[in-house]
Amino acid sequence: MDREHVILFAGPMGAGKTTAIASLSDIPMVTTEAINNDTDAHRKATTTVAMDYGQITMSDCEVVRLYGVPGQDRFDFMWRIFEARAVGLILLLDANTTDIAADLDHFLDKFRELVARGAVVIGITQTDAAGISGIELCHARLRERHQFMPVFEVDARSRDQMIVMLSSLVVMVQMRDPQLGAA
Amino acid sequence: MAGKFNPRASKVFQAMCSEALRQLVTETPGVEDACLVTGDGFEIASALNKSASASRLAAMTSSMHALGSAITGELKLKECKSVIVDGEIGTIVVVRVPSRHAEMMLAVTCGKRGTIGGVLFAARQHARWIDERVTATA
Amino acid sequence: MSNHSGALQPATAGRAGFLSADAARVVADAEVRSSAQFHIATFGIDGDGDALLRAIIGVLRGRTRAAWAVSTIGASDLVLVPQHRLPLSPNRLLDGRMIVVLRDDEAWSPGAEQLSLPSPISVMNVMELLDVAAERLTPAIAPRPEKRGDDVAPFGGHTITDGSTLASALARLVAESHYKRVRVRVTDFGVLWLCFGEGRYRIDFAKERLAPALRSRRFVLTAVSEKVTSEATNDLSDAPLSELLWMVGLVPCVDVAIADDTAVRLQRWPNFPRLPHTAEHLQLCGLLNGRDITFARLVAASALPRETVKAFMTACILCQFAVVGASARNEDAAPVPRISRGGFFERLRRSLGL
Repeated sequence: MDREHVILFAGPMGAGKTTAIASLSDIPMVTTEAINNDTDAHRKATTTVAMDYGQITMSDCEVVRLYGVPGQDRFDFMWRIFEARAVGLILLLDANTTDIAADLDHFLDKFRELVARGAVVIGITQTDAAGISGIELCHARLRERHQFMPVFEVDARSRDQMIVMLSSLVVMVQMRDPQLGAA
Repeated sequence: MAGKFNPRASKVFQAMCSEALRQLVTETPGVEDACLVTGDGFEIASALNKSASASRLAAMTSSMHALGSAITGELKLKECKSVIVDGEIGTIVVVRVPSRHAEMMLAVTCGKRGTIGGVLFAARQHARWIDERVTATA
Repeated sequence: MSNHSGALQPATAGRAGFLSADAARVVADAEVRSSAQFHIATFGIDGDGDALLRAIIGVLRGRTRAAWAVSTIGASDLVLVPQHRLPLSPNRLLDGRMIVVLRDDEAWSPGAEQLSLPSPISVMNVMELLDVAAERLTPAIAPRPEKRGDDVAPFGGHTITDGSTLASALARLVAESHYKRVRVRVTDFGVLWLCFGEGRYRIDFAKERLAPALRSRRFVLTAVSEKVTSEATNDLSDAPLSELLWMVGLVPCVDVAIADDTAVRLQRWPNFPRLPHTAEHLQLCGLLNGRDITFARLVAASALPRETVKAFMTACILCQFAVVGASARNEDAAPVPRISRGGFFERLRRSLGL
C-alpha cells in the first residue's frame, strides 16, 4: 500500500469501540475478545484484551486502518503502541456511565499527544437508553478544560453515523496538516 | 468459550496455584518468574523475582495470548497453545491452560540458564495441573 | 382575449403579447410592488388576461384588507391558474405558492380548501378572493382559546405579519425570547409544536416532510399554554429544538444579515449524525474550529458559494452553535487553512460512495 492512515478508537469499556469498527470495516474484523470477569466494572460478557482491527480500503494504494484498544487502564501499554502511529483518535464515551465528564477527563489526559495534535472527535453512545444529555455535560467539561473538539451523539451500530464521525476527524486532520493525504 | 468458573473468586484455588508457581520457579532450572492470569488480564497467582508489576504482566500476558489466538485463527491453525517472546537476555513463554471451565494463561520467564524446551515443558505440565485443580474445584 | 365588461377569458398563453404588454408596466409597477404586502401572478393566462388582472388590482388598491400587487410567479404568494391547466404537473416555480383556479365550468367543484374564481371575473369576486387569501397567508400570533377561560397565555399584543415562509417566521420567533410554547398549523402538512422553554419540538406529520413544510407560506402560529400543549401532544415523540432550527437556518429564504467584516466563531460542532448536512458543512466546521474569523475570510478560505456559507452560519447561529459580532473576539491572526480539493477527505468520501 502506498498510503495508510491509522485511526485509533479508544474509550471506556462498553462504549462501543468494537461495534464502531465493525460498522466501518469493509473486511471481517480481527478481534481479541476474552470473557469479562470484572462484571462490577461492566456487565458485558466479553471484553477486548489486545486490539480490534478493521480497515477501509479506499483504493489499490490507499487504506484506512482502524484500531480499537481496550478501555481498561491495565491495557494502557496498548494505547501507547498505537497512539504513536495514529493520525487521529475517535473517543467513544458511554452516556450511561455514572460520570461521563470524568471519563472524558481521563481519556483526554491519557491521549494528550493526540489531543495536542488537534485530531480527536468524541462520540457519545447509548444516548437513547440513557435519556440524559451526555453531550451537554461533555461540552461543559470541554469549556472548563479550554479545549474545542467535535462532540456527537452516535449509535456505534450505524455505519452512516460512524462515517460522519470519521469524516469529521479526517477534516480536522487535513486542516492541521494539509500535506497529509494531499492529492 | 469456557467461563463457568471465576478463578479469582476462590481463595483456596488461588492459594493452591500460588504454591504451585512457587515450586515451578524454585525447582525448574532457568525459570525466574511465573504468573497465572485470566483471559481478560487479571492476576490469579504469581511468583515473581523481578520487580515487574504483577498486574501489568497479567494484562500483557492476556494481550499476547489474544494476539496469538488472532493469528492462529486467521491462518486456520486452530487454537493458540503458546506464545514465545525471545528477548536478548531472557525469554517469556505464555501457555494456555487447557481448561473447559475458565480462560487462563500461564506466563513463565526464564534467563539464559534455562532452555526454551525445558521451560515450555514445565509450563505445560503446570498448566495441566492447574486444569485438574479447576476441574476438581469448579 | 378579454372583453370590456371585465371578464377574463381563459386562453392559451400568447407569450409574445404577454411580454410586450408587461414590459411597459415593469418600471411603473415597481413602486407599487415594493409597498405591497402580498403578490399575485398568473400562470397559463395570456397577456390581455394578465393586463386585466393588473387593472382590477389597481382599482382595488386601498379597498382590500391587505395591499396587493401583481408580480412574476417567482415573487408571488398567490397564482391564478385556469381550470383547463389542471391537474398541474410538477413545477418548481409554483412550489409553495397558493393556487387559485379560474373556473370556466359551472359544474366543476373545487375541494373545500381550494380557492377559486368564477369566470368571467368581476371586481367584487377578486376583492373577496384577495381578502380570503390574505387571511390564509398572514401568520398571525394571537390568542386562540380552545375554550373560554385561561387556557392560553396572553401575549403582549405582538403580531408577526410578514413571515413569507414558515422558516422565516420561525427564525424571527427565535429572537422573541418571551414565547414559551407555540403551535403552528401548516396547511397541507399538519401541526408543529415548539416548546422553547424545554428546547424541544413535536410534529404530527412525518419528519421527511418537515423541510418542505418550512418553505410553506400557508400556516398559522398561535401561542399556547403548557396544558394545551401536553394534552395535544401526549402521543407525539419530541426532539431537540436545535434539529428544527438547523433546518430553518438552511432554508434559503431565511434572511439573516451577516456582514463581510463580522467576526464569527463556532462554539460547538453541530451534532451532525443527527442533522441533515453536507460534506461542505463538515469542512466549514474544520475551518472554523473554535477560532474567530471574519465571514469574508471564511468564504474565501472555503472557496464555497457565499450563499452556502451564509446558510450554514445562519443555521449555526439559530441553534446557538456559533456566535457573531461582539460575542466573538477580534479575528485570530493565525493564517486560516484553505480547503484543498482532491485531498484525503474527498478521496475517503468518494471511496465510501458519498
